[in-house]
Amino acid sequence: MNPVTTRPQQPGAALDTAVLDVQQLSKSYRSRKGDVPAVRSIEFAVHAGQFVSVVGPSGCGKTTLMMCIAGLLPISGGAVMFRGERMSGPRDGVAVVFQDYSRSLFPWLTVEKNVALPLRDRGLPRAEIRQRVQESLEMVGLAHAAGLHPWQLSGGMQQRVAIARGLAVRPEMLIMDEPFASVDAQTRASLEDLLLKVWAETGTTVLFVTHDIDEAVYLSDRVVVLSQGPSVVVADLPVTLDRPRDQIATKQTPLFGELREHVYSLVMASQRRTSLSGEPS
Amino acid sequence: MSGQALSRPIATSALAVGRGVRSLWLLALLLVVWEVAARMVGSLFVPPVSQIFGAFVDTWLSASPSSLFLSSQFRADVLPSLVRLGLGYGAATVLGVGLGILIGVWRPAGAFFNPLIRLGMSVPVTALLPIAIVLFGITSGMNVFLIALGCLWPILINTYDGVRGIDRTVVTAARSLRLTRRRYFLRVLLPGASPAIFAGMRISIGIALVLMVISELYAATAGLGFYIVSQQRLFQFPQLWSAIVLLALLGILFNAIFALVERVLLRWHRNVRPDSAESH
Repeated sequence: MNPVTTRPQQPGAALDTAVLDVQQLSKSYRSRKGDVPAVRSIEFAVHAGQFVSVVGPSGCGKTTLMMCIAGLLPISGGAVMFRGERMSGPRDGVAVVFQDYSRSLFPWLTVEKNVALPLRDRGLPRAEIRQRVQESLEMVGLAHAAGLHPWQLSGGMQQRVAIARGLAVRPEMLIMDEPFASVDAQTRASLEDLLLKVWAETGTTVLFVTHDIDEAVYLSDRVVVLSQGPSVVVADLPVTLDRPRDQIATKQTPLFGELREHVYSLVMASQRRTSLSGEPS
Repeated sequence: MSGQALSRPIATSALAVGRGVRSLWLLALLLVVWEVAARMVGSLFVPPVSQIFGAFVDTWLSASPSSLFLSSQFRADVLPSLVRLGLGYGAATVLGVGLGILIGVWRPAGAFFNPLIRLGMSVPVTALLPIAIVLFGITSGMNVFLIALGCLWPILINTYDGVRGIDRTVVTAARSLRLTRRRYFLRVLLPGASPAIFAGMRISIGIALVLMVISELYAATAGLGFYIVSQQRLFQFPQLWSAIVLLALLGILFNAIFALVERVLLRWHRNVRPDSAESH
């Protein structure tokens, strides 16, 4: 079974099946000098089972956008529709993995209890919770670490625990905010492949925010490129690279190089535009 | 890796024992100097250590093994003191943690009560002793009230700071998990604030001991403070000193209990490296 080949690869195709539909989303922060826009009418949709990355120059409001989509920040305008319903806060079916794993995991709980936490108070029987925790930890290869505390694990392992916690609720969509930005390059590559494996196994829709263009192209079905803040969508590119992907083989294909260059030039162009127009970077 | 993590507490406690032995030598030396000096000077008020030790055993530990060696004097004066301490300290903890969390979580209340708390904290509780005596009379209630009032502020302010100081990423992550209020409170808020809460409780246990003695020195019909004053009036200074030794031992005991509880409950806190991930 390979769900990858059966996925719609064209952006905008069959909009009615979109899991996530971001409509004219804008977000401003209040300050003394008035409202400071962070993101400005963002519009894109994510379809069931797709792996979509959002890239943009650093400081373009990617984290703000992610927080708004996850319902963790109130939006200033537009709408975020999840399964056709307007999102007004964090909701079931959406799990978030944060960049800062050392803070998003609770150090006073064991790995097992961290993963089980979102399953409590959901009316699930104990046995079911235990089984789901076990399953999620196995998926990220950490079943043996269940009884340890997060601070006894390396950074990469901690982020795997965070992914397991996200998977434990069996989300329809996993939102990830630069999840691999704080780990070393080798760990990062293996985490990317782990994520692809988990994504293929679960069929979960993934919205992946990153500043790393290679990572975005390597992982995704589609790459949404943002401009320098206040950001807008400058491009929404399909990535037609074959799956399963391989860290070496995929990255050596001419298509990968072309896509990577294309995204890179878009990001650089948006950066140049804003610096020429005199806006602060 | 887990082996390394497990061997670390053992190594640190071995080090602690080593330090303990070394400081015990210093203590022994001090006691010897005291003994010799006291014998040479022959002061009534500062008896030699051997006399104090003798008085200590006679006064507090002279009973039969069936009553755990604790003398009737122990039951007459130490138990009432400990009960007052326990009640006052317990009330301060319950009230301090409860109110601290409330004003920490509910911002308007925090802003409203903050100046009041800073004011209450800066009033030396001992100055309120005469008022407490007028209010309660010479009862245990007076001692308990004073201990509770003195212990309340450090626990309250530390709990408040602990709740307010919980990392924003922790709060955001907890929100994304959609926990019930009760679970958020028990599994995130309370443990997150617990290092600060414990710090406040540890400061307060010392304050409790001081206030217990002072309030009993002034107005009590039983208790360690009362015993100290009585022995002073009877010119029985070895007995007086034996009560001071007992107080010191109580202080050490309470500290040891805290160290143990923190070692177990806050093990995560000592092991978390605050810089293990880059912030963005």
